[in-house]
Amino acid sequence: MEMSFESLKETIFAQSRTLRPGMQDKHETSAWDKNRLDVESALALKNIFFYLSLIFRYPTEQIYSEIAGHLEAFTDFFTDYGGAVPELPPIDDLQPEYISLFVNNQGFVPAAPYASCYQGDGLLMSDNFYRLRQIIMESGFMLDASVHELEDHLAVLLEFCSSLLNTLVEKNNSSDKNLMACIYALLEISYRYIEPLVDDFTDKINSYASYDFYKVTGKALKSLFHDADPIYVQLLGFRSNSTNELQG
Amino acid sequence: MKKKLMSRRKFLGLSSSAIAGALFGPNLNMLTAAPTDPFDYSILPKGTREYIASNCAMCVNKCGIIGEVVNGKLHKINPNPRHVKSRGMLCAKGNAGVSLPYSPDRLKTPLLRTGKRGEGKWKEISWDEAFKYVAKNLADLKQKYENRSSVAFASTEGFQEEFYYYLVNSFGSLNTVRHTTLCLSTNIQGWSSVFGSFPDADLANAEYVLMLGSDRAQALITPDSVDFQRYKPKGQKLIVLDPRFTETGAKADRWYPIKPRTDQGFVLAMINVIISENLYDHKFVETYTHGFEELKELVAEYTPEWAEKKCEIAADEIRKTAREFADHAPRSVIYPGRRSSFYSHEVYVRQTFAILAAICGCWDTKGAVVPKSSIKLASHDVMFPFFNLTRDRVDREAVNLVKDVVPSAVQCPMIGTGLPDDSCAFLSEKDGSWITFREAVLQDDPYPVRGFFCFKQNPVQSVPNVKKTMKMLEKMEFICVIEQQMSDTAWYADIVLPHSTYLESWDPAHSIGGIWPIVEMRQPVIKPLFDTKTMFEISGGIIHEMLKIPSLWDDIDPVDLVDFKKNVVEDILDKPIQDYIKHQLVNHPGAYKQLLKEGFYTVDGGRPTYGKTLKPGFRFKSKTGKIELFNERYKEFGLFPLPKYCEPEILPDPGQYRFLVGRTAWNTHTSTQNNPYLWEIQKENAVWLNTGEAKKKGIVDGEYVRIKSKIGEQRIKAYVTEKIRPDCVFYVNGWGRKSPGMSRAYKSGASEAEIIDDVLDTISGGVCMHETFVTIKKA
Ligand code: SF4
Repeated sequence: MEMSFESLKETIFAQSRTLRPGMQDKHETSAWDKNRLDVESALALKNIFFYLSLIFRYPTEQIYSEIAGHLEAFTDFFTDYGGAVPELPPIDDLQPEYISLFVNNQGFVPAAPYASCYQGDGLLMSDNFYRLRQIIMESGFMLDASVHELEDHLAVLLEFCSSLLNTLVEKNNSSDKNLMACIYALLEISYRYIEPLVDDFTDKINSYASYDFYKVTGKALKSLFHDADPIYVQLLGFRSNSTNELQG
Repeated sequence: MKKKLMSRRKFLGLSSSAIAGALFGPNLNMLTAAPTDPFDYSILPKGTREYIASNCAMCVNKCGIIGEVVNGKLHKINPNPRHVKSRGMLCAKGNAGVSLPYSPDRLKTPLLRTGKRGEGKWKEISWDEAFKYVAKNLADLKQKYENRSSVAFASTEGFQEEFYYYLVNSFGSLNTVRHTTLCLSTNIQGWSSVFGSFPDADLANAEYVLMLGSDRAQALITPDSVDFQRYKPKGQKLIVLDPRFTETGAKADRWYPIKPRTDQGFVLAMINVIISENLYDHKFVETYTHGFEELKELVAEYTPEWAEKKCEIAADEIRKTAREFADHAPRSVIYPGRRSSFYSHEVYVRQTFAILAAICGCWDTKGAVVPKSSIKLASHDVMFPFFNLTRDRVDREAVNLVKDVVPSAVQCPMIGTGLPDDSCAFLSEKDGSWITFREAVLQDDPYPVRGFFCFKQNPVQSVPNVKKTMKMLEKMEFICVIEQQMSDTAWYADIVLPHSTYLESWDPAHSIGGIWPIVEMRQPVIKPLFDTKTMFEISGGIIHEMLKIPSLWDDIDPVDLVDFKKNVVEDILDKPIQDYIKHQLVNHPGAYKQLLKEGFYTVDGGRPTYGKTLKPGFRFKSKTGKIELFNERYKEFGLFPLPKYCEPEILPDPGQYRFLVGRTAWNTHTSTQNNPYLWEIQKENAVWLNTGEAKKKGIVDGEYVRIKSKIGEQRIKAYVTEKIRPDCVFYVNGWGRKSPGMSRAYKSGASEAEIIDDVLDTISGGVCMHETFVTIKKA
């Protein structure tokens, strides 16, 4: 029988499962009909994830110009989810703002952008970290050798979600038996790693930010993940126990 | 609700601009394709559990550790039960080291200041950019001041420090300042003035131990802290003198609440008793010492009755202690300890301790104080260029600078021409003198110092009188800090270079001297988490960039430069550090393997050797070659050659208390207060105030008070207790941080650097942290 979105979500948290047994499970592989994927929505979300990933990276000149160059395309998204279109400060102001919020302040980091810091004892590489590395590798990815970051940095997680959506879209018409694994990975990253971070993370940004840019983008991130259930239901075409409410 | 969701999710619609606007540029991905097909499960890392030996660096003791690494993450740090020096002990700090690499607060990448100093505006730069920037600033300062010593280098003790000195020597500055004068320089100087070296105490074999002012149960030193508690021999007597009833005092057979600054009087009276009652070791004194008659004459007036008036300890108790000490000799220890940055006459206090040991023959024998042995490592044949544009150290050249910070009772005739220097073994060349150095910089005397490097030291918090330190930093045109955390000092830097933690680095082999000498080395327990480097790599990177700037090498012989490039750069810095370590161990076959396996190496199974300085023909490092009860060099330099009792020069006003500072077993100076695990043990410091005094002031336990000295004021919780004398107050160091970012230590408790006046001991150049008087009132 077709799985509901709610029970799918439950399986993610029910056990410390890897995708591998999931893939072998007939019940799970048949839980989703790929024809139901809302391709356009997936593409839109893929791009939003990637754009947010750029925003939560250190704004080098290249990254800054990408953020500036594409801001207009995400006006609707920020208006709806962040309550305003973020005003991008000059790069010379944004770089120190980024460092003081997310990298190093005097003796501490106000809003550490690592999922681990919002789990367990607040330190890096929490117990779920190794599992995250596994998920990323199982999905065919790894951190580029030039990137000196941890896999649970928010920017990496968002880029990973974007890549998973890309895989779903690209392989949608193929018979790739691993699409379900992509969905599991997407949902697990969203719910196990990103969602538990967003509230505290944005609260801390609000307390320490000097400019509105990260306040607005942080708020958009938070609202987006609070809204994750209906978005994924609509996008993936799952049956929901609260269909009307969620599917809008 | 439904409507809201619908409208909010309109970006999911077909016409969304989010699809159209998706043409991101190339090379933006942080993730890349894994080398094999997705979902090829055979490439997945298998769960692993490894045990890797190394050494702790949460304080200076370097205890043996075994890192338990699960799936690439340091899961736990275990003590190494076979470690000769730490005896299987790992303290709270050592355990809490497990969180160090995983602190989100740590420095992760080089940062360049973009705003005003201390404003907190930084940008990330690459290591290449950082190395270039540092080299250029060194070149600019050298050109501008035509004096390489215009750049100063501060550092603290550690395995990587030797590579910091590669940078110092490659630039050619003579101005270096280490932590020693903030800690134990007076102790080293005092004991060395008698024995020519600074010994250890054989607590594992002593029958009688006299500890003055050392709280070994809290301020941990290995193996002493372990030996005096766990391995204390049966029947050993421990006598503790301290104005506070410390944890160590609680374990003692007798505790004397001695009046602060009078320890010397107590020991002089002991010497008086031992000599007048003929209890000293005649044979030892005749064979090995110099100046006994002069000593005898000096101490004649220092009777126990005289001392009773100074120390407020009954004369009979002093007499009893003297007799017991002599009775148990040579297995009696007067404990040297470590930090001695207490009083302005501290060198003489420590000289007095050493003389007591000497006349009782408690030297270099089982159960006594014993000179350190060490295992010799092969050194690298390193020749740094001789630079013409290098002036002598500021703290040696300084004229008339330190008068204001030296009580006249201990001023020596040399004061008019700066501190006595290494030529008579007073001031260790590399260590410098923090207070004198700072005065010289502040007054531009004898020349301007405008560049400042700081490697793992935090002078803003650790050097008394913060205001002066801040003024000194303001004078600098360039500040580079190499650190693990954004310390209070790093915050005021122009560039901050992130250093890897001790759990992520290779550190060179070090020979650690002591009664149980060992060699230690560090290997990475885990891979570095971020873009950090070790001092070995940082020095190499900066020196390579320096070599690209011709003006940095125009005051040396070109042949020197060729040799330097070959011997230092190509043969050492360009090679893996493991090659460096293997060369250090070349005379010890099997040592490298042993170090990888155990983290330490010993010869002879780590057994102690006694008596090497008592063999015929041995010359002590003194002018006479003997143990000097009368110091000939001091006489030559116009200092008191004997430990004449020094009356206090700085006296309290009515209502003032002497301020004492110390440590706990769960924090190291200013470096660990923000550690989440240690913070669970202690969340702020509190000032110890005697119950009677508190009552007079209407202060109750746990209430906040204001403590005020000549130089500053702090707010702190009161700990009202009988465990401290009424004439002094005490708190532990490292709290009350300036940095709002020290989320746990900020404004928690009080800082000692804000309170302690900068009083200087002129013989060793050490600071005197217990020469400050304070008042206390309700907050
Ligand atoms: S005493 Fe504690 S902190 Fe110091 S080296 Fe040993 S275990 Fe580490």
